[in-house]
Amino acid sequence: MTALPAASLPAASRGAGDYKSKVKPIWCPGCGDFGVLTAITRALSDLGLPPEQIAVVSGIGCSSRIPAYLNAYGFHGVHGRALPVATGLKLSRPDMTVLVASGDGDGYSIGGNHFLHACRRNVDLTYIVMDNRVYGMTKGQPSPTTEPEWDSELAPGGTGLRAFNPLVIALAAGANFIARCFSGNPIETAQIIVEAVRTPGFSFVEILSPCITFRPDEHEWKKAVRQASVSETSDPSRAAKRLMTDDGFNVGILYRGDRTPYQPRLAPVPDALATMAREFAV
Amino acid sequence: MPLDFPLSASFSLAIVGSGGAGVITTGGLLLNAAARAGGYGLLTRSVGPQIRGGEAAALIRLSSRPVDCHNDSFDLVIALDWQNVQRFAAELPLGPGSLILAEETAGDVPAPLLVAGSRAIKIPMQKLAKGIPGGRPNMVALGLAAELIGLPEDGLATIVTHALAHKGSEAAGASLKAIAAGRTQAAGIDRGARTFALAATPSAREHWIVTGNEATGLGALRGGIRFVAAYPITPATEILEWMAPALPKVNGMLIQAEDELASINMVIGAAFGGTPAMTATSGPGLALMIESLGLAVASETPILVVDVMRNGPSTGIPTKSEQSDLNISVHGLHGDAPHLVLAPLSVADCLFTTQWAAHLSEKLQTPTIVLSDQFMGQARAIVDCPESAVFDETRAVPPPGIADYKRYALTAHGISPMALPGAPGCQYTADGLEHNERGTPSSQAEDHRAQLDKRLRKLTDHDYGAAWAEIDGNGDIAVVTWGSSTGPAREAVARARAQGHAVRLIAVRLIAPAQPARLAESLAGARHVLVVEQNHSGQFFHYLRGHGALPAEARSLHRPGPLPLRPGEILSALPLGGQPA
Amino acid sequence: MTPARRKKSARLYRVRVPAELLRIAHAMENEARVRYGELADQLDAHNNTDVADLFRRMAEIEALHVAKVLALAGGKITTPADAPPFPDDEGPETAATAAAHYLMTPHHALSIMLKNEQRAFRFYSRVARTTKAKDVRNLAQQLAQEEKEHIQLAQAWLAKYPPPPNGWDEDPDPPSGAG
Repeated sequence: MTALPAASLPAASRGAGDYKSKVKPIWCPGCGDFGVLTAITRALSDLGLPPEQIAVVSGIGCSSRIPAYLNAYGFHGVHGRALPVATGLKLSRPDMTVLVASGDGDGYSIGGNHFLHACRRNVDLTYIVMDNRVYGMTKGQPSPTTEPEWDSELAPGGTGLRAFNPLVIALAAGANFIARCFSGNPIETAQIIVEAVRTPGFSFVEILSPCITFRPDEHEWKKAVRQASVSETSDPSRAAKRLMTDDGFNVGILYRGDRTPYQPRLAPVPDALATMAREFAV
Repeated sequence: MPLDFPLSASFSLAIVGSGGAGVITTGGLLLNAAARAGGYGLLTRSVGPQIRGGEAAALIRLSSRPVDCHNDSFDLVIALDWQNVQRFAAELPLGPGSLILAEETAGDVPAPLLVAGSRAIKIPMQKLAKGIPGGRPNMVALGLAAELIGLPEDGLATIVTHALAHKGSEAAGASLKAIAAGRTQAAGIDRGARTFALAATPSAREHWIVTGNEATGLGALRGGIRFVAAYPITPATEILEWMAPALPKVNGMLIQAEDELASINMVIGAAFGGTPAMTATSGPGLALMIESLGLAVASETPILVVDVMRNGPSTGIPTKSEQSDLNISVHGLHGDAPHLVLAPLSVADCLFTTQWAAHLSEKLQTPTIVLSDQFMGQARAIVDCPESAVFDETRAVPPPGIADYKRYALTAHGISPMALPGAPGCQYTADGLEHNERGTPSSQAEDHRAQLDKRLRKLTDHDYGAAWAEIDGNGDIAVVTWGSSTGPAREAVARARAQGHAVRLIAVRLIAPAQPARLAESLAGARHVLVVEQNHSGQFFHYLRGHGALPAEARSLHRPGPLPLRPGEILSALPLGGQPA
Repeated sequence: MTPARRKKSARLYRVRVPAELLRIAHAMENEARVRYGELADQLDAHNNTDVADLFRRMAEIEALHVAKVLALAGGKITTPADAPPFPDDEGPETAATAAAHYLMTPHHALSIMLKNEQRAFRFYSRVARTTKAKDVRNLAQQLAQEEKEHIQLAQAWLAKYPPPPNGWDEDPDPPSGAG
């Protein structure tokens, strides 16, 4: 999306509330995703986008219910396939602002393959992953970002597997904008989402979003989260170095590059179909 | 097994409430107490979309005989509150003889529950609970139910004390007092015409309390499964949760894979290495696995895939039951890819059918899909301890020192000995590409034909024995069914017989390969055939029709989920007056 | 908070004109109102009607405060595009969504309200202390005094609802799943 100069932004003609649908969320009270909903609606209000020009695509999981709670064109797809759906939509309708919403299971497990290629392809999308380090909707299995020692029924004693590091993967795969936020700071998160949408190309925003029901220990996250002491960089190797000492709780924009977003160029030619047919003629 | 089944021999009750009321737990305690008293029963649960605190209904049926389905209506509803109960209204059919006991402060009984003329009485459950330190209204409700069912006091006390042991003796004591308060209240209620007393039926076999998903897990282990790779999905996840700690105890393992594509391919890998392997999923996951199922067919790799069916299509209704994955299970693979499809007939039968499926996969070197469903998978039932089945044949391996080993040798029965990696001199490459007898990829017509014939022959020539279906009775009228529809069908047939009609029941366990000759034999002489199933398009009916297994006048009774089939609606569809109903 | 944000936030306390303070007060009360409404919806969806009703009453009270501030501002509030953020992300009077629990009791809800009002009081007090403009100081003191009254209201209300016994958040039933 073309970056709008600040001066041309209208004073909020639509409040955040105008971006909420009439459907009431059924997330557990205390769920971090409420903070994300606040952040997204606030960001959309700050961006001043007409609701009908926004599309929100999601997969399956508690986080993926969010399109129904937003006043936009939503698509609640199948598990792990939000990015391809969003890619198809954005490439064919570049005039739409396309947000993609997912969770750590949907986005990094079954959706892992698509994550890699979405970063690489760099279509102008904003990908928001609500990471609660658990599969909530299916009642508490470990996800790729779950700590190796976290005990669960499906992996008694812990998976023993090293946790997936989405920011490292995003950087290595070529995402053009990478940030981490915390749902407990919705206004700060909103500002980062505004930057993510304004930055052309694939913008990845990982939002730590505690699950009150299956990970009550994540209540402690609000103490662990802190602003990265270094501001954003456009140098991938500096960003990589920062990630080497990242404990998973630094918030802010990590990296913002200048890759040109992928969008096939259309080259219409008059009378094209007739010409094509004539090529077959004997 | 005698199938006469007087209505008064069973009692159906529903406990409804929300937000921490403990509805499901109360239902579970009641079922456990009934089991302890020697009775039979089943418990299912319906919940709202909230993960916690939502409206919930525990639906319980108790009987002196085994029950595999819910009855046509409920005798008793106990409401801890009426929050959003309209969500369950369609699942709570009531009649004039039904009794509603509602929390006094919960407001009026919602109108939809009163249309059938049921009687409603307000009970001060919260007040009684408040009068007991540590007392909870759901324990008062438990006392109400126990009194009305005639549950012995000491049995219930033992169950409750055990359940609350981790909370200390005070908690248990408070609960027992609350139960007693509920019993006292119930003693003062005029029960009307519908009385019930849970009577233990002497049974030679011990009783189990088990869900279909748990039974599936145990059946898999008994069938030799030692490797499971799977991905969580409602309503199959409990199979995995049961098997995860169980497998290491039998030298096995369970891996949570990144998705269903990984799951089935991990299973194929383990099976290739010689370990009987399985995954469990539901419709959307099975859809993802289809390509790899074809790989297992073409490479002749034995694998077991359990599909706990839910409402489709696509994401559908994840928490509700339906029998609508028959088509994809049988026809979903591209190419001509015959394989096995089995379907358990009840909660208890999940054990036998899964065990049999594991055995058949290994013996016939083919993927087997087991079609369970949400109803059987998640219902908790008191059942007769399933009989032990023994299958002594397993995977055929080549004799040691064999010269010129051909993995896909054309044998008479179509089964080629399968070398396990590590066996010297038998190295081969398994392949989804069409191949010759050695396994070398081939595009030759005669190889394709020979391998297709072989892969089909090994399935169709196998003698599946009597377990292919459960056939009972004689008569002009025949009911053909499968899966969880067997429960209500069996009961409808029993009622018809009690009215003096001769009705046959054929509950099919072996769905694929189809058994048209055996089915036709079992239907010989029947003038009215009714095929019963729970889906929108009559999948089983058209499948049997396509195989020429049904007489021309056969009819279909089919209805999609989410509401369960009930015996009464099947009974109404039977042509008992000599004419099609 | 980034250094830039911290600077922006600090600006918030050095209010220059009363109109600015009224804008901030309006935003605070309105955000609090919206949040209580959201919490009411959440608790309603989880069948906790007692607390849902309580949050709805709190939202109504905040609506009255919003109207009061609007009246003080002569009926019109203008918000510039680069309005500084609140120091702790959301406004001092806004309840954190993370503080909710589906089994929460009126005591918990009112405790949240009390804390919100106390934070609001501290906010206006700090503005009064740090501003250089006399008319802003007077207004800030006036608004702080009103928050004090809200605190007293909350305390009186809370006194009617003692803390629940241990185990208030225990649910005998297991979580349900979907997906």
